[in-house]
Order: sequence, then structure tokens, then C-alpha cells
Amino acid sequence: MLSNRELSRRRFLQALGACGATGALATLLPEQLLALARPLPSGEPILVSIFLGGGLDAAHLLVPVGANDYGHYADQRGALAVDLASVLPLSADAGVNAVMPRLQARALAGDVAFVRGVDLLGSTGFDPLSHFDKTDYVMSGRSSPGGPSGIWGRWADTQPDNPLLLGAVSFGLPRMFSGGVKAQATSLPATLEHALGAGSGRDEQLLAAALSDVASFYPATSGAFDARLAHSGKFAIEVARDLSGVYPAAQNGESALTRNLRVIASLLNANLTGTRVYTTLLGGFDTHENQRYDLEQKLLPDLDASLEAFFEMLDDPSPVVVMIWSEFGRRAAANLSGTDHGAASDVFLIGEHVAGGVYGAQPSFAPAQLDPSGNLRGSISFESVYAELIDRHLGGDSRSVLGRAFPYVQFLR
Amino acid sequence: MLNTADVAHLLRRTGYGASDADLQFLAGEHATLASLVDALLNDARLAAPPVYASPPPSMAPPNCNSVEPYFEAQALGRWVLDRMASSRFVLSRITLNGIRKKKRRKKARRRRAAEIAANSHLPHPLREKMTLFWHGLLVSSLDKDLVYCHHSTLRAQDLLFRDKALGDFGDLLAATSVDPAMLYYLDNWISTKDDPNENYGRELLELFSLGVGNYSQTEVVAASRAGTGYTINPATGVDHVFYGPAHDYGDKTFFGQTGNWDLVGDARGANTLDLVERLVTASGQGAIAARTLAKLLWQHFALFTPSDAQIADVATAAIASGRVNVKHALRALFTHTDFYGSVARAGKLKNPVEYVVGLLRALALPAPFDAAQRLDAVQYLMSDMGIQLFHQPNVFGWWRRPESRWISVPAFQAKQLAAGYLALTASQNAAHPLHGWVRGTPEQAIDAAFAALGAPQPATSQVRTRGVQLVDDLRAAGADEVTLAVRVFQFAAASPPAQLA
Repeated sequence: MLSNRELSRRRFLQALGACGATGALATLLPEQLLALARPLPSGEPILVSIFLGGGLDAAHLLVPVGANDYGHYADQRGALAVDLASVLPLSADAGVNAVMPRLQARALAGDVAFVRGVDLLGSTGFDPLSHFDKTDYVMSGRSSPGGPSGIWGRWADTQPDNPLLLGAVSFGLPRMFSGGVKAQATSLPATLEHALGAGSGRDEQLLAAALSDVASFYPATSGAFDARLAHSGKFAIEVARDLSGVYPAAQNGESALTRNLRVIASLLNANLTGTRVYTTLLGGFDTHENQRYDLEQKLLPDLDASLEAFFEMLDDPSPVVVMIWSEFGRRAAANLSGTDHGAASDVFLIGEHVAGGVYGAQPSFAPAQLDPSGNLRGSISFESVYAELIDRHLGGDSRSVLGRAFPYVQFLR
Repeated sequence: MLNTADVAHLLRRTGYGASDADLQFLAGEHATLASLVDALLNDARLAAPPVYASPPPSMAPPNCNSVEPYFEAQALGRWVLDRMASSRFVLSRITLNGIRKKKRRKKARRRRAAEIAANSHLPHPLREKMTLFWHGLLVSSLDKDLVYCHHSTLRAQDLLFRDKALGDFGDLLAATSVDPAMLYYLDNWISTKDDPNENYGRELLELFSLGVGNYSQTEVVAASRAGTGYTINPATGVDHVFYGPAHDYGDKTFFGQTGNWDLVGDARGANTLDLVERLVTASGQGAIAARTLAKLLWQHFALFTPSDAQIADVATAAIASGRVNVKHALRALFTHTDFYGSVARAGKLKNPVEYVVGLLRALALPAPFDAAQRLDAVQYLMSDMGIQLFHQPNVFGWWRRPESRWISVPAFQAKQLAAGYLALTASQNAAHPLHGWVRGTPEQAIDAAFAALGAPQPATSQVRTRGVQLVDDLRAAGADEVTLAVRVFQFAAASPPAQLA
């Protein structure tokens, strides 16, 4: 289905070519965006988050093959359990689903940390089995969120002013980017083809200049919608003007995730925006039914191929850590062809800065070890993952962002 | 005599505004806002589902291995956009339903009768807005393969929402619970006594009625078991059927009451307790459901963070009859003092559907489809604005986050492309009024574009002056008439007044 939509997008962009008249090249707009965004020094650490929306069945990606685990896992999951013959070896008690051979290869090279059994531990006040309540709490990165702020929004407050410090290549800003004191996050489109500001037509540039001027008629500090609309328009024009040249061309048949990750790789290579944390998302993991087919035929292969495309495209992958995660895992017991909402899941981290290996105890599928709702119990809190990324990768003080200190997992070199 | 600004506000939020003359007319005919709101809500076209325009015939049967469902969904989306764009208040009917009948003169009466005859077939704006509200709340989406494969179920769901948009909430919720698109989308069709599936049971409580914090996992399990056996007729693939052998007739505990709970009462077991009824009645959880609905309606029509008191005022009216009633909630909302307060008046963005419908109305265009290229550019762009009809990314829906999410770089660019594409499409008709906009003075061009968009005036005189300068600059650069018209329309469409509801 994705390919149908992508097909449509290409036709659409071709047809829109008629919209922009051609004309003399002229630069009419001030260089404001790039003035605020600074190129990063070589090697400045980067985080790229890939959020798997809906609740990842982590055991289907990182299969619990240990002697004490697999039997219980197979009992609970029945026909949904990954067959041992379909598992690529990784460690004594964990293997990678064979639909992700590139991830396994990267893991064998020592660049992947698999952190098992991650959940919000010791937190209360939310519905742990609600996608949206749980996502809000996980993205807020605090045991008891005092407001709507997100983990990276608060981290960004401690960093230099830059509206592109946090970049989301997906619709809208996720909770984890929101609520900081400063406006440091921007939602970027998957394409800037034919965007206003990107073209060289004289008439288009005159319109862009006029709409940029309109922003100056509204107080920049006003929170009112009309002012925000006007200034957002001006900013969008600047983004199109400054970044359209570095956006990658669309490729036939690429998935939305591949596309988004290639946009991120292009922006990293260009090093214009000063963005330190990127995020994009892949939805569809709420596998109440058809779990096996959806994961093995669509979602996990897409993730595997997209990650490869991303790393292949990067000029310098060394500063980049990719974090792959989800709001929760799945119920231990299967229903007819899927699983209901669960608790603990895994977090996967990829990059040269990562100390490859498997971390955290495998949550047990043994009936006696499950929680009262029949869910896997986690042993590592999300805050520990955040704390380590802040203190040992991005730079900053995790205690001020998280409210207190959390023990590191030690997944970084 | 009402304040015309209040009338204008009401008609913008419940529809797409009205001309100054129409506003004066309505303000003069109604003594109170309550009278006007009652007349609006009692419009026969609103009270009964309209017969207007049956959906376009389906081009393709259910098929999972074809691109056709994608185009089918776009056709359905265009039908919805066109319905909204062509919707009209029939002002004379609003007036005839009002209280000051004695003032009517014979001639005026004849004129209004003619207006009714001419417009009675048109969709009612509020019914269309409420249909969109339910579509964005009681989510079923083509992003699920089984819905994609059975896309005709979404047509049926759209008609269901439209039919029940302004009535008894229990009727709507019960019908939605066994609606085939919903049975597929939230997996209830494969929920059985031996393998209950929690997807629908959970969202019924969390997203469709009570909200987080107002139920426990015990209720989710009970609701899921109560819904077992409600499935799809395998002979057609697109109809609901109740299959007794898969239903769990055992005792379930729901809000402290143990018994044979059944989702909507089809199971007809011994001593059946109707679970959806429990959610919508005053003797059950109806007061909570009414509060959830009241908050969402405040957010949808007025302001995003209503106070507890504002919510309570609307919720109390909604449940006053003993059952949650949508129309009663709307009457309370549209007659609430705070609906006309400065916060409600200033703080509302058009959602992407309303924005695109505004463009279509401004240009008097049907939603365009390039059959040669099989291209629906506008709906394509709507995904970047944040709403692609029938393509919700997940069950969360569209109305629960602050509407500032409609402000973004992708949204601005998509809105500009849509405005440009539509103006260019309109300009292909040599008789389209937009050609006339740019044949006069620059001031006339700017004013005409803003007027077409229903934006009262370019917000400030500075915006107007800058627009005039744009026209001058474009002319100096040698822009032709079409380029001029397209750019002027884009300028007006990007201006804040055209983006506010």
C-alpha cells in the first residue's frame, strides 16, 4: 500500500510542476534560519530516534532462545512464536529474527546494544495499557510528569538557541520534543519539492517575500494563533529556501520510513541545521491480529532495510546513535492471531559509540513470572536509557532533566 | 435584534459563515441566541438525515491485491469534501422556525419559500461538521489492511455517522460497535469466547466513551468478553453478523455488577445486561460519558481547554433526559455565554478539512481529480496538513491534541500548494471569477481574494498594503493574469484570517 501512495506522490509532484512559473534567479529573502542554526563541530554526538508506534512485540525481533526462556515463550505464543530455525544467532540466550539479517550483521560487528525488559518502573498515575497515556508518560521521561514537557524538550532547554535543535521528520511534534521553555523543535516535511521558497521563479519569490513580510506585522512574542500562523509561514519559507537543496531526491519504491531516514541522513551530511536529536516513526505495531504476517512480511523488513539505507547514506556515521523503541510490549499470551497491549519491551541502540551486546534480563514468559494482567515484567526503566544518552552521549546533566539520578545500563562505549 | 458579530461567530463555527446581508437578516429576525440556535438545530434538514447525493458508485469490489482501494478512498474523500463545501444554511428556514413569524410580509415569505425550494437538497453544514467529528473520533482507517480490502465498509460507516450524528449517543455507539469497518479496524470480528481480543473493548472505554482513569482493566476484560461473537458475515465480507457459538455467555464483572454482560444485546442470553447501554445512561456511567463528550465538543467548536464548570454545563444538559444526547449537548454549547466570549472567539484554527473546504468554497470548485493522471493532489496534500480523510494513522483520532498541531512547516507548505493548485485548476475555466479579480486595481484584487475566502478583511491594513505591493511587484515582473490570480489567492489563503475558524 505504501508503494501506491508513493507512486501517487511522484505523479503529484510532476503535476505540480505546472504551478511554479520560471523566472530569473534572485535572492530576495534574509538569511535568518542559517544565522540561528550553527553547523556542528566534527564528531558532535547525534541521536536519531525511531519510534515504533503501537507497541512492539520485542520477542519477535529479539527472540528469547535461552534454555529457560524459549519453552515458556513458545507455550504462550503458540503459532505466533518464532521458530528456532528462523532465528539468526546472537548470544547464548537471544537471537535476531531472520527477517532482519542486516541488523544481525551489524550486531555481530559490535554496533548494536539490545536492552531487554525496558518499562516505566515505579511510575504511577497513568493507564499502563493505554497507547496514548503510556506514550505520554514514556516521552515525558519522568516518573510523575508535572506538566506537558517532554524529555528532549527539557534537554533542549539547556542547549544553545536553535529552532532546529530537535527535528521531527513526521507529522507534528511528538510529546518528547514538547513543552520546553524554549522553542527548539521543528517538524520537517518528507519532501521540499515545490515548497514555497524552494523555487527560483520570480513570481514565487515575490509571493514568498510578501508572506515573510506579513509575519513582521504580528508581534513575534505573541502566543495568539494569528501571530503563530504568520511566523510559522515565514519560517517554513526559510526552511524550504535553505534546505531544499540538500533534501534527497525521491526514489522509486522507497518506504516512508526509508524516505524519512534518508532525509535525516541528508541533513546530517549537509551539516547546516545544528540538529542534535532527530526523530521519525513507523506505525503499525499494534498487532492485535495478523501479528506474524505484519511483523515478518512488512514492518521488520522495512525497519531492517531502512536502517541499512540510512547508514549507507551517512558520510560520517561515527557520531550517530540510533534508538529504536516503542511505548510498550505485547501481552505474553497470544489471542487468535495477535497479542493485546503489554508492558515491558526492548530498546535497541545502534552506532559506533554503542558497546554491542545484549543487556538486561530477558523478561520471563513463565506464567508465574507475569504481572497480574499477564504481562512481561521489565527490569530497566526508560529513564536509565535517557540518562545514559544525555550524560554519556549528547552531553548535559540527566539529573536536571529527569529530576534525579538513574543508574546507567552501560550500553555506550 | 441580535449582535451580528455573535451570529457571525455561531455560523462560522457551526458552518462556514454567511454574508453580511444574511447576518443582518438573521440578527433582525431572532430576539435571542437561544431562538436562533433552536431554529438552527430544528432545521428539518438537520433533524432528519438528508437524501442529498447518494455516495458515488463503487468502482471496485473488495480486493487486497489492487491499488483500486486507494483510489476508492480518495473518491470517498472527495465526496465528503464536496458535501461539506456545498452545504448551506437555509436562512429562511432558520427564520421560519424562529419565533417572530408575525413580522413576515407576504413578499418576503414568497422569496423565502423559493430559497427553501432551491436549497433544501443541500447538505446541512452542522450535520457535515458533526459527521467529520465522529469520523475523527470513532476511528476506522484504511491504514489497516482488512479495512483497505473491504473499503466499501467505510462508505457505510460514513453514512452511519451522518445518519446518527446529532441524536442519541447510545444509538450511535451501539451501531458503531457492530459496524463492519469498526469490527475490522479494532479486530472485534475475530474476538471469540476462547480468544477474546481487547482492542475494541479497551478503546470503547478509553477513547469512545469514558476516558483514561474512569475504568480499570477489569472493565476492559468484561467489555471484550461481552463483544465476542460480533463478527463479519463470511458470505459477504462487509456485513455484521452475530455468531452465538463464539460469544461468551459467562458472568463478567463490569463496574461492580456481575452478570451476563453483552455488548449491544444481540446475544439474547438469559438475564442479559446491555453493556453499551450502561455506558450512556444516567443510571450507569452516562454522566462520565456526557462529560467526555462535552469536553470534546467544547474543543471542537470553541476552545481547547474548557473549565470544569463549562464542561459540566454542557454535560448536564447532555444527560438531562437520562441518556447522553448529542443535540442536547450542542444546544447547551451554542447557547453558552462562554461560547461567545473572547477566548472562544479568538482561539480556534480551522482544521485541515475545514481549511480545504474553505478553499473549495472560495473558488466554487468541486474537489479536483485528474482522471488522466489518476491524481487527487488536494487529498494528497491533506496528509501533510495533518488529516487525510479515512486514513487516520492510529485510533487516537484527530481532536485530542491542541490544535496548534495544525501549525507546522509541512502544514504551511501543503496549504500553499493546495491553494496554488486549486487556483490554477479554477483558472482553466476562462469564465471563472478569479480572472476578474486581477483585471482591476491591486486593491480590488486583494479584496476580492480575501472576500472569496470569507475572511472578513485582511487582518490589518498592513497586510492589505503588502498584498497590494505584491500585485504591483508581480505586474512589474511581467506576470500574466493566471499567475497573478494564483499568487494573489495563495497570499490571501496563507494569511492568518483565512486560517482561523
